[in-house]
Amino acid sequence: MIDIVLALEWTKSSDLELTIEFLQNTYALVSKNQLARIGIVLYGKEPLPLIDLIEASTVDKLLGDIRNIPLLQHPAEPALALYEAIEMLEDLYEPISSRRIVLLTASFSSRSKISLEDAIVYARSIDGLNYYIFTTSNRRPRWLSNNIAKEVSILRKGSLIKYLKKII
Amino acid sequence: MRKSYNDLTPNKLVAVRDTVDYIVVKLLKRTNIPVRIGMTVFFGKAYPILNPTRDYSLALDALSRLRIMGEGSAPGDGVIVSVKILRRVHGSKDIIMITDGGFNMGIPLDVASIYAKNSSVRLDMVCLGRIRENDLLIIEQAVKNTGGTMHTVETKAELYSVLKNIVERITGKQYD
Repeated sequence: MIDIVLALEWTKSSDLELTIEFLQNTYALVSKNQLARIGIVLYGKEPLPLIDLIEASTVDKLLGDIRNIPLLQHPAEPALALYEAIEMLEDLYEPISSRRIVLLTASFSSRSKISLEDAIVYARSIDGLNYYIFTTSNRRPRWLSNNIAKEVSILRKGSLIKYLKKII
Repeated sequence: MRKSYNDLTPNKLVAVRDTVDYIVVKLLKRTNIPVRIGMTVFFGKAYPILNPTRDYSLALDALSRLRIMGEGSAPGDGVIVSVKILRRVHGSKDIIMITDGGFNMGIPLDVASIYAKNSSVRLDMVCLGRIRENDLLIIEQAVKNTGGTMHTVETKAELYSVLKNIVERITGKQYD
């Protein structure tokens, strides 16, 4: 069984169209798998768990309304979203879960107060957890430390499926 | 204006504590209604103080520790923490939020209520006294999202009556 939590920045700084496309593509890929579960966390200054891990094939009806959800407060704190996603995976862990994945999107439009690097170190310490960080910006901001920057992929419309197929 | 015995005296917090205390004893100690009670407190942040339980002594202990914990009011965070402690619970799930408004922090209540809705958790709101217009609009949207109800109470007697009605609706049984 595969458990995937999407942690999506939901602020005025994030490219929402790209974010939603990323979400829809992930859903399209994962929902074919009967043993997959998806959870969604939106975040701004604070994280909002939107959908707890549920069977991927049942997420569809909840996704329809996502565009109506108001933007969350700026500046975004991706570290808190990563912690929230991990908490969801841990709380709803089933022994049958063989792969656990967090997909995090961030604009990195401003320096966050809470260290993403620390959150990444924590994520690495969780057994069987893989995380992938994407930015919706055109380039990695210079202020990101090298340790984080090397882990960040730039999301581009044409390459979404390619990325996701590699991961999932 | 003079306060009567039934007003929210000596203050709102103590009035809520006394009333909930009374209901907890009645519901958990004197009936076999299959209900578990959990508790969350919120101010500028939100924390769970009681995991869902049928143990009335644990519930009373948690209640006895209620105090003013900080500034601000983040009801959305209160909803999120409450839904989280219900994550592993099966059966009908309901949050009864008691507030005097003044919402000014955290995830907005109406937005957090979407998470409650997606988790099949109903939100019932009990407002203590008059609430600001802005807060009322947010509360109305939140209860609409989850199919819950909103009530305003001015006295302990009203608070008891509203809580009793909500609990009886949730459990489908009269306990008094």
